[in-house]
Amino acid sequence: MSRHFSEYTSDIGLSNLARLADSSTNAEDYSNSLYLLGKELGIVLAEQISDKNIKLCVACTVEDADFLAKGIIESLSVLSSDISLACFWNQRQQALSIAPIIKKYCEPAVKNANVLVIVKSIISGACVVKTNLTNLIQDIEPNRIFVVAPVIHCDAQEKLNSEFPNIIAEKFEYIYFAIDDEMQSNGNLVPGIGGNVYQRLGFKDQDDKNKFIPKLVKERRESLISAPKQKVAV
Amino acid sequence: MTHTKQVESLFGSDVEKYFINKQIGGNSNQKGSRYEDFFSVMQLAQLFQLLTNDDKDDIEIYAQAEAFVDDLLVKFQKHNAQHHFQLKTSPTVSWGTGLKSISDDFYKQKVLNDSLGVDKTRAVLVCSDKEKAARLQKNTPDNIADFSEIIFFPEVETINHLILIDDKFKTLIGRICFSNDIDKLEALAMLIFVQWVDKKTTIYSVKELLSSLEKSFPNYLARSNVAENLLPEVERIFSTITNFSFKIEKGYFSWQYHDFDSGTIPYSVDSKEFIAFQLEITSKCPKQFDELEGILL
Repeated sequence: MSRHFSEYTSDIGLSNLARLADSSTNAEDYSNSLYLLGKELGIVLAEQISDKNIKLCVACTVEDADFLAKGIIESLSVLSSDISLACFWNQRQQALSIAPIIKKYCEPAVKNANVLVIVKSIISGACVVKTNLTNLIQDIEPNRIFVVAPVIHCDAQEKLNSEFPNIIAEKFEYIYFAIDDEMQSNGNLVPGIGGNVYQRLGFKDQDDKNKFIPKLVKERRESLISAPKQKVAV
Repeated sequence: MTHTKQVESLFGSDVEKYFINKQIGGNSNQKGSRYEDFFSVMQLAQLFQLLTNDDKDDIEIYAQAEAFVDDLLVKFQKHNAQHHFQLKTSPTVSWGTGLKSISDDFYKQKVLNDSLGVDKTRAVLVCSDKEKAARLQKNTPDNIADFSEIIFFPEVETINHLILIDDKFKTLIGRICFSNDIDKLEALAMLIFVQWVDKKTTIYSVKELLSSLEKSFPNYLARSNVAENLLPEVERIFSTITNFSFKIEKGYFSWQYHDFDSGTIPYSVDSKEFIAFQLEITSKCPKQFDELEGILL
Protein backbone atom coordinates (compact mmCIF):
# COMPACT_ATOMS: atom_id res chain seq x y z
CA MET A 1 0.00 0.00 0.00
CA SER A 2 1.29 3.42 -0.83
CA ARG A 3 -0.20 6.90 -0.81
CA HIS A 4 1.21 9.94 -2.53
CA PHE A 5 0.08 13.50 -2.02
CA SER A 6 -0.28 16.06 -4.76
CA GLU A 7 1.32 19.50 -4.79
CA TYR A 8 -2.06 20.98 -3.80
CA THR A 9 -2.30 19.28 -0.41
CA SER A 10 -2.18 21.71 2.52
CA ASP A 11 -1.90 20.87 6.24
CA ILE A 12 -5.69 21.26 6.48
CA GLY A 13 -6.04 18.80 3.63
CA LEU A 14 -3.66 16.31 5.26
CA SER A 15 -5.44 16.35 8.62
CA ASN A 16 -8.88 15.94 7.04
CA LEU A 17 -7.69 13.11 4.80
CA ALA A 18 -6.41 11.37 7.94
CA ARG A 19 -9.80 11.90 9.64
CA LEU A 20 -11.60 10.26 6.69
CA ALA A 21 -9.23 7.30 6.73
CA ASP A 22 -9.71 6.81 10.48
CA SER A 23 -12.48 4.25 10.99
CA SER A 24 -13.30 5.72 14.43
CA THR A 25 -14.36 9.09 12.98
CA ASN A 26 -18.11 9.45 13.48
CA ALA A 27 -20.53 10.39 10.66
CA GLU A 28 -20.79 14.05 11.72
CA ASP A 29 -17.02 14.62 11.89
CA TYR A 30 -16.61 12.61 8.68
CA SER A 31 -19.10 14.89 6.88
CA ASN A 32 -17.36 17.98 8.23
CA SER A 33 -14.00 16.71 6.97
CA LEU A 34 -15.49 16.23 3.52
CA TYR A 35 -16.84 19.80 3.68
CA LEU A 36 -13.42 21.17 4.69
CA LEU A 37 -11.72 19.17 1.95
CA GLY A 38 -14.27 20.62 -0.46
CA LYS A 39 -13.34 24.12 0.69
CA GLU A 40 -9.65 23.33 0.13
CA LEU A 41 -10.29 21.84 -3.30
CA GLY A 42 -12.36 24.92 -4.16
CA ILE A 43 -9.46 27.21 -3.27
CA VAL A 44 -7.16 25.22 -5.58
CA LEU A 45 -9.79 25.32 -8.33
CA ALA A 46 -10.28 29.07 -7.98
CA GLU A 47 -6.53 29.54 -8.50
CA GLN A 48 -6.56 27.25 -11.53
CA ILE A 49 -9.56 28.89 -13.16
CA SER A 50 -8.75 32.51 -12.20
CA ASP A 51 -10.96 33.94 -14.99
CA LYS A 52 -13.88 35.78 -13.40
CA ASN A 53 -16.02 35.84 -16.58
CA ILE A 54 -16.80 32.20 -16.57
CA LYS A 55 -20.02 30.27 -16.20
CA LEU A 56 -19.37 27.41 -13.83
CA CYS A 57 -21.27 24.20 -13.34
CA VAL A 58 -20.52 22.01 -10.32
CA ALA A 59 -21.74 18.45 -10.78
CA CYS A 60 -21.89 15.96 -7.92
CA THR A 61 -23.61 12.86 -6.64
CA VAL A 62 -26.32 12.88 -3.98
CA GLU A 63 -24.00 11.70 -1.19
CA ASP A 64 -21.41 14.38 -1.92
CA ALA A 65 -23.77 17.35 -2.31
CA ASP A 66 -24.15 18.62 1.26
CA PHE A 67 -20.49 18.37 2.22
CA LEU A 68 -17.84 18.09 -0.49
CA ALA A 69 -19.75 19.94 -3.23
CA LYS A 70 -21.04 22.56 -0.80
CA GLY A 71 -17.47 23.31 0.33
CA ILE A 72 -16.26 23.59 -3.26
CA ILE A 73 -19.13 25.91 -4.26
CA GLU A 74 -18.46 28.17 -1.27
CA SER A 75 -14.78 28.53 -2.17
CA LEU A 76 -15.57 29.08 -5.85
CA SER A 77 -18.08 31.80 -4.98
CA VAL A 78 -15.21 34.25 -4.60
CA LEU A 79 -14.49 33.72 -8.28
CA SER A 80 -17.99 33.77 -9.70
CA SER A 81 -21.55 34.16 -8.54
CA ASP A 82 -22.64 32.35 -11.69
CA ILE A 83 -22.37 28.78 -10.40
CA SER A 84 -25.00 26.23 -11.38
CA LEU A 85 -25.50 22.80 -9.86
CA ALA A 86 -26.20 19.36 -11.29
CA CYS A 87 -26.76 16.53 -8.83
CA PHE A 88 -27.12 12.86 -9.75
CA TRP A 89 -28.64 9.82 -8.07
CA ASN A 90 -26.86 6.78 -9.55
CA GLN A 91 -27.68 3.12 -9.14
CA ARG A 92 -24.21 1.65 -9.26
CA GLN A 93 -23.65 -1.96 -10.33
CA GLN A 94 -20.01 -2.45 -9.53
CA ALA A 95 -19.66 -5.85 -11.21
CA LEU A 96 -20.73 -4.32 -14.53
CA SER A 97 -18.93 -0.99 -14.05
CA ILE A 98 -22.17 0.86 -14.70
CA ALA A 99 -24.04 3.47 -12.70
CA PRO A 100 -27.31 4.37 -14.48
CA ILE A 101 -28.94 7.63 -13.43
CA ILE A 102 -32.29 7.24 -11.70
CA LYS A 103 -32.77 10.91 -10.81
CA LYS A 104 -31.15 14.17 -11.76
CA TYR A 105 -31.41 17.70 -10.45
CA CYS A 106 -30.05 20.03 -13.09
CA GLU A 107 -30.45 23.78 -12.87
CA PRO A 108 -31.37 25.65 -16.07
CA ALA A 109 -28.07 27.61 -16.05
CA VAL A 110 -26.10 24.35 -16.39
CA LYS A 111 -26.64 24.48 -20.15
CA ASN A 112 -24.73 27.80 -20.32
CA ALA A 113 -21.68 26.52 -18.45
CA ASN A 114 -18.29 26.84 -20.12
CA VAL A 115 -16.36 25.35 -17.19
CA LEU A 116 -17.50 22.07 -15.70
CA VAL A 117 -16.31 20.86 -12.30
CA ILE A 118 -17.25 17.26 -11.62
CA VAL A 119 -16.82 16.34 -7.98
CA LYS A 120 -16.61 12.98 -6.25
CA SER A 121 -15.43 12.01 -2.77
CA ILE A 122 -13.30 9.24 -4.25
CA ILE A 123 -12.53 8.10 -7.80
CA SER A 124 -11.42 4.50 -8.22
CA GLY A 125 -13.19 2.68 -11.07
CA ALA A 126 -14.47 6.05 -12.33
CA CYS A 127 -17.78 4.56 -13.47
CA VAL A 128 -20.00 7.10 -11.67
CA VAL A 129 -17.94 10.05 -12.90
CA LYS A 130 -17.95 8.64 -16.43
CA THR A 131 -21.75 8.23 -16.40
CA ASN A 132 -22.55 11.69 -15.07
CA LEU A 133 -19.98 13.42 -17.25
CA THR A 134 -21.30 11.62 -20.33
CA ASN A 135 -24.81 12.76 -19.44
CA LEU A 136 -23.77 16.39 -19.04
CA ILE A 137 -21.76 16.67 -22.24
CA GLN A 138 -24.81 15.67 -24.26
CA ASP A 139 -26.19 19.13 -23.50
CA ILE A 140 -23.20 21.34 -22.83
CA GLU A 141 -19.82 21.95 -24.44
CA PRO A 142 -17.51 23.17 -21.68
CA ASN A 143 -14.09 24.51 -22.64
CA ARG A 144 -12.55 23.10 -19.48
CA ILE A 145 -13.53 20.02 -17.46
CA PHE A 146 -12.13 19.66 -13.94
CA VAL A 147 -12.33 16.22 -12.36
CA VAL A 148 -12.04 16.81 -8.64
CA ALA A 149 -11.73 14.45 -5.67
CA PRO A 150 -9.87 14.35 -2.36
CA VAL A 151 -8.60 10.83 -3.19
CA ILE A 152 -8.17 8.97 -6.46
CA HIS A 153 -6.78 5.57 -7.46
CA CYS A 154 -3.53 5.52 -9.41
CA ASP A 155 -5.32 4.11 -12.50
CA ALA A 156 -8.37 6.36 -12.30
CA GLN A 157 -7.17 9.00 -14.77
CA GLU A 158 -6.28 6.42 -17.40
CA LYS A 159 -9.60 4.63 -16.89
CA LEU A 160 -11.68 7.77 -17.15
CA ASN A 161 -9.79 9.02 -20.20
CA SER A 162 -10.41 5.70 -21.98
CA GLU A 163 -14.16 6.19 -21.63
CA PHE A 164 -14.16 9.23 -23.91
CA PRO A 165 -12.94 10.24 -27.35
CA ASN A 166 -9.75 12.33 -27.26
CA ILE A 167 -11.57 15.53 -28.09
CA ILE A 168 -13.30 15.26 -24.69
CA ALA A 169 -10.58 13.53 -22.65
CA GLU A 170 -7.99 16.17 -23.55
CA LYS A 171 -10.12 18.74 -21.68
CA PHE A 172 -9.82 16.85 -18.40
CA GLU A 173 -7.84 18.56 -15.63
CA TYR A 174 -7.48 16.43 -12.50
CA ILE A 175 -7.38 18.05 -9.08
CA TYR A 176 -6.86 15.74 -6.08
CA PHE A 177 -4.98 15.60 -2.80
CA ALA A 178 -4.05 11.93 -2.44
CA ILE A 179 -3.43 9.11 -4.86
CA ASP A 180 -3.68 5.51 -3.57
CA ASP A 181 -2.55 2.33 -5.30
CA GLU A 182 -4.26 -0.39 -3.27
CA MET A 183 -7.81 -1.47 -4.06
CA GLN A 184 -9.65 -4.12 -2.06
CA SER A 185 -11.85 -6.72 -3.76
CA ASN A 186 -14.95 -4.71 -2.78
CA GLY A 187 -13.61 -1.73 -4.70
CA ASN A 188 -12.63 0.32 -1.64
CA LEU A 189 -9.23 2.01 -1.71
CA VAL A 190 -6.74 1.67 1.15
CA PRO A 191 -6.53 4.01 2.98
CA GLY A 192 -8.88 5.82 0.57
CA ILE A 193 -11.62 7.61 2.45
CA GLY A 194 -11.84 4.96 5.14
CA GLY A 195 -14.20 2.51 3.47
CA ASN A 196 -17.59 2.88 1.87
CA VAL A 197 -18.63 6.54 1.78
CA TYR A 198 -22.38 5.73 2.01
CA GLN A 199 -21.89 3.87 5.26
CA ARG A 200 -19.41 6.39 6.67
CA LEU A 201 -21.98 9.13 6.08
CA GLY A 202 -24.61 7.09 7.92
CA PHE A 203 -26.60 5.63 5.02
CA LYS A 204 -27.60 1.98 5.32
CA ASP A 205 -26.86 1.14 1.71
CA GLN A 206 -27.18 2.42 -1.86
CA ASP A 207 -31.00 2.35 -1.81
CA ASP A 208 -31.03 4.36 1.38
CA LYS A 209 -28.58 6.85 -0.13
CA ASN A 210 -30.78 7.16 -3.22
CA LYS A 211 -33.84 8.07 -1.15
CA PHE A 212 -32.02 11.04 0.32
CA ILE A 213 -32.58 14.60 -0.91
CA PRO A 214 -29.63 16.85 -0.03
CA LYS A 215 -30.26 20.11 1.77
CA LEU A 216 -28.20 21.87 -0.91
CA VAL A 217 -30.63 20.66 -3.61
CA LYS A 218 -33.72 21.56 -1.57
CA GLU A 219 -32.49 25.08 -0.86
CA ARG A 220 -31.33 25.84 -4.37
CA ARG A 221 -34.51 24.40 -5.90
CA GLU A 222 -36.63 26.46 -3.56
CA SER A 223 -34.80 29.63 -4.53
CA LEU A 224 -35.23 28.78 -8.23
CA ILE A 225 -38.95 28.26 -7.77
CA SER A 226 -39.40 31.43 -5.78
CA ALA A 227 -37.13 33.59 -7.97
CA PRO A 228 -39.76 34.48 -10.64
CA LYS A 229 -42.24 35.36 -7.88
CA GLN A 230 -39.73 37.82 -6.41
CA LYS A 231 -39.25 39.41 -9.81
CA VAL A 232 -43.00 39.82 -10.17
CA ALA A 233 -43.14 41.42 -6.71
CA VAL A 234 -40.41 43.92 -7.68
CA MET B 1 -22.34 -31.99 -37.66
CA THR B 2 -18.75 -31.33 -38.63
CA HIS B 3 -17.89 -29.91 -42.08
CA THR B 4 -14.32 -31.20 -42.16
CA LYS B 5 -15.01 -34.11 -44.52
CA GLN B 6 -16.94 -31.81 -46.83
CA VAL B 7 -13.95 -29.46 -46.88
CA GLU B 8 -11.61 -32.33 -47.77
CA SER B 9 -13.79 -33.54 -50.63
CA LEU B 10 -14.20 -30.01 -51.99
CA PHE B 11 -10.65 -28.66 -51.59
CA GLY B 12 -8.29 -31.55 -50.73
CA SER B 13 -6.28 -32.56 -47.67
CA ASP B 14 -4.03 -29.45 -47.38
CA VAL B 15 -7.06 -27.20 -47.10
CA GLU B 16 -8.66 -29.69 -44.71
CA LYS B 17 -5.58 -29.37 -42.40
CA TYR B 18 -5.77 -25.56 -42.62
CA PHE B 19 -9.52 -25.67 -41.84
CA ILE B 20 -8.92 -27.83 -38.73
CA ASN B 21 -5.99 -25.66 -37.55
CA LYS B 22 -8.11 -22.55 -38.01
CA GLN B 23 -10.61 -23.84 -35.45
CA ILE B 24 -7.85 -24.80 -32.97
CA GLY B 25 -6.16 -21.39 -33.38
CA GLY B 26 -9.49 -19.61 -33.10
CA ASN B 27 -10.43 -21.36 -29.90
CA SER B 28 -7.10 -20.66 -28.21
CA ASN B 29 -7.20 -17.01 -29.26
CA GLN B 30 -10.67 -16.62 -27.88
CA LYS B 31 -9.51 -15.51 -24.44
CA GLY B 32 -11.41 -12.35 -24.86
CA SER B 33 -11.05 -10.22 -27.89
CA ARG B 34 -12.88 -7.12 -26.75
CA TYR B 35 -13.17 -5.93 -30.34
CA GLU B 36 -14.98 -9.09 -31.39
CA ASP B 37 -17.16 -9.07 -28.30
CA PHE B 38 -18.25 -5.46 -28.74
CA PHE B 39 -19.10 -6.18 -32.37
CA SER B 40 -21.07 -9.24 -31.28
CA VAL B 41 -23.03 -7.07 -28.82
CA MET B 42 -24.10 -4.89 -31.75
CA GLN B 43 -25.11 -7.94 -33.80
CA LEU B 44 -27.06 -9.37 -30.87
CA ALA B 45 -28.94 -6.08 -30.41
CA GLN B 46 -30.01 -6.28 -34.05
CA LEU B 47 -30.99 -9.95 -33.73
CA PHE B 48 -32.93 -9.33 -30.49
CA GLN B 49 -34.91 -6.66 -32.31
CA LEU B 50 -35.64 -9.10 -35.16
CA LEU B 51 -36.88 -11.70 -32.67
CA THR B 52 -39.08 -9.28 -30.75
CA ASN B 53 -40.50 -7.50 -33.81
CA ASP B 54 -40.82 -9.68 -36.88
CA ASP B 55 -39.27 -13.05 -36.84
CA LYS B 56 -40.47 -15.49 -34.23
CA ASP B 57 -38.18 -18.24 -35.57
CA ASP B 58 -34.96 -18.72 -33.70
CA ILE B 59 -31.59 -17.54 -34.99
CA GLU B 60 -28.24 -19.07 -34.05
CA ILE B 61 -25.02 -17.25 -33.33
CA TYR B 62 -21.53 -18.77 -33.06
CA ALA B 63 -18.25 -17.24 -31.92
CA GLN B 64 -15.32 -18.97 -33.63
CA ALA B 65 -17.51 -21.10 -35.85
CA GLU B 66 -16.44 -24.15 -37.79
CA ALA B 67 -15.91 -22.17 -40.95
CA PHE B 68 -13.36 -20.43 -43.17
CA VAL B 69 -14.87 -17.04 -42.24
CA ASP B 70 -15.19 -17.87 -38.60
CA ASP B 71 -14.98 -14.99 -36.10
CA LEU B 72 -18.75 -14.73 -35.89
CA LEU B 73 -21.45 -16.70 -37.66
CA VAL B 74 -25.17 -15.98 -37.65
CA LYS B 75 -27.51 -18.70 -39.00
CA PHE B 76 -31.03 -17.75 -40.02
CA GLN B 77 -32.68 -21.17 -40.11
CA LYS B 78 -35.97 -19.89 -41.48
CA HIS B 79 -34.34 -18.24 -44.50
CA ASN B 80 -31.59 -20.88 -44.85
CA ALA B 81 -29.09 -18.01 -44.78
CA GLN B 82 -25.70 -17.55 -43.11
CA HIS B 83 -23.86 -14.35 -42.28
CA HIS B 84 -20.12 -14.81 -41.66
CA PHE B 85 -17.95 -12.13 -40.10
CA GLN B 86 -14.16 -11.81 -40.06
CA LEU B 87 -12.85 -9.06 -37.79
CA LYS B 88 -9.51 -7.33 -38.29
CA THR B 89 -7.82 -4.66 -36.21
CA SER B 90 -4.47 -4.87 -37.97
CA PRO B 91 -3.64 -1.79 -40.07
CA THR B 92 -2.01 -4.06 -42.68
CA VAL B 93 -5.11 -6.11 -43.42
CA SER B 94 -5.55 -6.95 -47.11
CA TRP B 95 -7.59 -9.29 -49.28
CA GLY B 96 -4.47 -11.21 -50.31
CA THR B 97 -4.34 -14.19 -52.63
CA GLY B 98 -4.01 -17.95 -52.26
CA LEU B 99 -4.58 -20.29 -49.34
CA LYS B 100 -4.97 -18.58 -45.95
CA SER B 101 -5.75 -15.18 -47.49
CA ILE B 102 -8.99 -13.41 -46.57
CA SER B 103 -10.23 -13.43 -50.16
CA ASP B 104 -9.59 -17.16 -50.45
CA ASP B 105 -11.32 -17.83 -47.12
CA PHE B 106 -14.35 -15.85 -48.34
CA TYR B 107 -14.40 -17.70 -51.66
CA LYS B 108 -14.06 -21.13 -50.05
CA GLN B 109 -16.77 -20.25 -47.51
CA LYS B 110 -19.20 -19.56 -50.33
CA VAL B 111 -18.28 -22.80 -52.13
CA LEU B 112 -18.63 -24.78 -48.88
CA ASN B 113 -21.97 -23.17 -48.03
CA ASP B 114 -23.30 -23.81 -51.54
CA SER B 115 -22.31 -27.45 -51.27
CA LEU B 116 -24.06 -27.67 -47.89
CA GLY B 117 -27.25 -26.28 -49.41
CA VAL B 118 -27.17 -22.84 -47.77
CA ASP B 119 -29.37 -20.59 -49.92
CA LYS B 120 -27.83 -17.26 -49.05
CA THR B 121 -24.28 -16.54 -47.90
CA ARG B 122 -23.14 -13.12 -46.77
CA ALA B 123 -19.47 -12.69 -45.84
CA VAL B 124 -18.40 -9.54 -44.05
CA LEU B 125 -14.95 -8.19 -43.34
CA VAL B 126 -15.11 -5.94 -40.27
CA CYS B 127 -12.25 -3.50 -40.12
CA SER B 128 -11.24 -1.04 -37.37
CA ASP B 129 -9.58 1.41 -39.75
CA LYS B 130 -12.12 3.58 -41.56
CA GLU B 131 -9.92 4.54 -44.53
CA LYS B 132 -8.64 0.99 -44.89
CA ALA B 133 -12.23 -0.28 -44.89
CA ALA B 134 -13.11 2.11 -47.73
CA ARG B 135 -10.06 1.00 -49.74
CA LEU B 136 -10.84 -2.69 -49.19
CA GLN B 137 -14.43 -2.10 -50.28
CA LYS B 138 -13.19 -0.53 -53.51
CA ASN B 139 -10.76 -3.39 -54.17
CA THR B 140 -13.03 -6.32 -53.38
CA PRO B 141 -11.97 -9.20 -55.67
CA ASP B 142 -14.51 -9.96 -58.39
CA ASN B 143 -14.96 -13.62 -57.45
CA ILE B 144 -16.30 -12.69 -53.97
CA ALA B 145 -17.87 -9.29 -54.66
CA ASP B 146 -21.44 -10.60 -55.03
CA PHE B 147 -21.69 -11.90 -51.48
CA SER B 148 -19.01 -9.89 -49.61
CA GLU B 149 -18.96 -6.53 -47.91
CA ILE B 150 -16.77 -4.43 -45.64
CA ILE B 151 -17.94 -2.78 -42.45
CA PHE B 152 -16.02 -0.21 -40.46
CA PHE B 153 -16.33 -0.76 -36.70
CA PRO B 154 -14.13 1.30 -34.35
CA GLU B 155 -11.79 -0.29 -31.83
CA VAL B 156 -12.16 1.29 -28.39
CA GLU B 157 -11.62 0.19 -24.82
CA THR B 158 -15.08 0.72 -23.38
CA ILE B 159 -18.75 0.56 -24.31
CA ASN B 160 -19.34 4.13 -23.16
CA HIS B 161 -16.67 5.31 -25.59
CA LEU B 162 -18.19 3.19 -28.36
CA ILE B 163 -21.66 4.69 -27.84
CA LEU B 164 -20.16 8.18 -27.96
CA ILE B 165 -18.41 7.66 -31.30
CA ASP B 166 -20.38 5.02 -33.21
CA ASP B 167 -23.87 6.09 -34.23
CA LYS B 168 -24.77 2.68 -35.61
CA PHE B 169 -23.93 0.91 -32.34
CA LYS B 170 -25.86 3.57 -30.41
CA THR B 171 -28.88 3.33 -32.73
CA LEU B 172 -29.09 -0.47 -32.63
CA ILE B 173 -28.87 -0.60 -28.83
CA GLY B 174 -31.40 2.26 -28.71
CA ARG B 175 -33.94 0.23 -30.70
CA ILE B 176 -34.19 -2.37 -27.95
CA CYS B 177 -33.64 -0.09 -24.94
CA PHE B 178 -36.44 1.72 -23.15
CA SER B 179 -34.53 4.98 -23.22
CA ASN B 180 -32.09 6.81 -25.49
CA ASP B 181 -30.16 8.21 -22.54
CA ILE B 182 -26.57 7.06 -22.84
CA ASP B 183 -26.39 5.71 -19.28
CA LYS B 184 -29.32 3.36 -20.03
CA LEU B 185 -27.88 2.37 -23.42
CA GLU B 186 -24.54 1.63 -21.78
CA ALA B 187 -26.21 -0.41 -19.04
CA LEU B 188 -28.10 -2.54 -21.56
CA ALA B 189 -25.04 -2.98 -23.80
CA MET B 190 -22.97 -4.03 -20.77
CA LEU B 191 -25.60 -6.60 -19.78
CA ILE B 192 -25.56 -8.05 -23.31
CA PHE B 193 -21.74 -8.01 -23.28
CA VAL B 194 -21.51 -9.85 -19.97
CA GLN B 195 -24.08 -12.46 -21.07
CA TRP B 196 -22.29 -12.95 -24.38
CA VAL B 197 -18.82 -13.37 -22.85
CA ASP B 198 -20.26 -15.80 -20.30
CA LYS B 199 -22.34 -17.91 -22.70
CA LYS B 200 -20.81 -17.64 -26.17
CA THR B 201 -19.23 -21.07 -26.05
CA THR B 202 -22.29 -22.82 -24.64
CA ILE B 203 -25.44 -21.12 -25.93
CA TYR B 204 -26.03 -20.59 -29.65
CA SER B 205 -29.73 -19.79 -29.62
CA VAL B 206 -30.38 -16.05 -29.86
CA LYS B 207 -33.84 -16.65 -28.38
CA GLU B 208 -32.24 -18.28 -25.35
CA LEU B 209 -29.75 -15.42 -24.95
CA LEU B 210 -32.60 -12.91 -25.10
CA SER B 211 -34.63 -14.89 -22.60
CA SER B 212 -31.64 -14.97 -20.24
CA LEU B 213 -31.22 -11.19 -20.63
CA GLU B 214 -34.92 -10.65 -19.90
CA LYS B 215 -34.45 -12.40 -16.57
CA SER B 216 -31.84 -9.83 -15.45
CA PHE B 217 -33.23 -7.13 -13.18
CA PRO B 218 -33.20 -4.35 -14.10
CA ASN B 219 -32.58 -5.12 -17.77
CA TYR B 220 -33.34 -1.79 -19.55
CA LEU B 221 -35.12 -3.61 -22.39
CA ALA B 222 -38.00 -1.77 -24.05
CA ARG B 223 -41.34 -3.45 -23.38
CA SER B 224 -44.09 -3.81 -25.93
CA ASN B 225 -47.69 -4.89 -25.39
CA VAL B 226 -47.67 -3.49 -21.88
CA ALA B 227 -50.69 -1.59 -20.56
CA GLU B 228 -49.27 1.88 -20.13
CA ASN B 229 -51.76 3.32 -17.72
CA LEU B 230 -51.55 4.08 -14.03
CA LEU B 231 -54.11 3.30 -11.37
CA PRO B 232 -56.79 6.01 -11.58
CA GLU B 233 -56.09 7.10 -8.00
CA VAL B 234 -52.37 7.49 -8.76
CA GLU B 235 -53.19 9.59 -11.82
CA ARG B 236 -55.46 11.75 -9.69
CA ILE B 237 -52.77 12.28 -7.04
CA PHE B 238 -50.15 13.19 -9.66
CA SER B 239 -52.53 15.66 -11.29
CA THR B 240 -52.80 17.63 -8.04
CA ILE B 241 -49.03 18.19 -7.75
CA THR B 242 -48.16 21.48 -9.41
CA ASN B 243 -45.48 21.44 -12.12
CA PHE B 244 -45.15 17.66 -11.96
CA SER B 245 -45.54 15.67 -15.16
CA PHE B 246 -44.93 12.09 -16.18
CA LYS B 247 -44.96 9.83 -19.19
CA ILE B 248 -44.90 6.11 -19.82
CA GLU B 249 -42.95 5.07 -22.89
CA LYS B 250 -41.76 1.64 -24.00
CA GLY B 251 -43.17 0.27 -20.75
CA TYR B 252 -41.28 2.56 -18.34
CA PHE B 253 -42.34 5.49 -16.19
CA SER B 254 -40.39 8.74 -16.23
CA TRP B 255 -41.18 12.04 -14.59
CA GLN B 256 -40.25 15.69 -14.47
CA TYR B 257 -40.69 18.51 -11.95
CA HIS B 258 -40.36 22.03 -13.33
CA ASP B 259 -37.48 21.88 -15.77
CA PHE B 260 -34.82 20.90 -13.26
CA ASP B 261 -35.78 17.61 -11.61
CA SER B 262 -36.26 14.47 -13.66
CA GLY B 263 -36.04 10.75 -13.21
CA THR B 264 -36.88 7.30 -14.44
CA ILE B 265 -38.07 4.30 -12.51
CA PRO B 266 -35.75 1.54 -13.72
CA TYR B 267 -38.32 -1.26 -13.68
CA SER B 268 -41.20 -1.66 -16.13
CA VAL B 269 -44.78 -0.65 -15.36
CA ASP B 270 -45.96 -4.27 -15.42
CA SER B 271 -43.47 -5.36 -12.75
CA LYS B 272 -44.46 -6.18 -9.18
CA GLU B 273 -42.09 -3.43 -8.02
CA PHE B 274 -44.08 -0.86 -10.00
CA ILE B 275 -47.34 -2.13 -8.51
CA ALA B 276 -45.78 -1.67 -5.06
CA PHE B 277 -44.71 1.86 -6.06
CA GLN B 278 -48.29 2.72 -7.07
CA LEU B 279 -49.66 1.32 -3.82
CA GLU B 280 -47.20 3.43 -1.86
CA ILE B 281 -48.41 6.52 -3.74
CA THR B 282 -52.05 5.76 -2.92
CA SER B 283 -51.32 5.00 0.73
CA LYS B 284 -49.12 8.09 1.36
CA CYS B 285 -51.16 10.35 -0.91
CA PRO B 286 -48.50 13.06 -1.39
CA LYS B 287 -49.91 16.56 -1.91
CA GLN B 288 -46.76 18.33 -3.04
CA PHE B 289 -43.50 17.41 -4.73
CA ASP B 290 -41.49 17.37 -1.50
CA GLU B 291 -43.71 14.55 -0.22
CA LEU B 292 -43.65 12.68 -3.52
CA GLU B 293 -39.92 12.94 -4.18
CA GLY B 294 -38.80 10.28 -1.71
CA ILE B 295 -41.32 7.78 -3.11
CA LEU B 296 -40.12 8.34 -6.68
CA LEU B 297 -36.63 7.15 -5.76
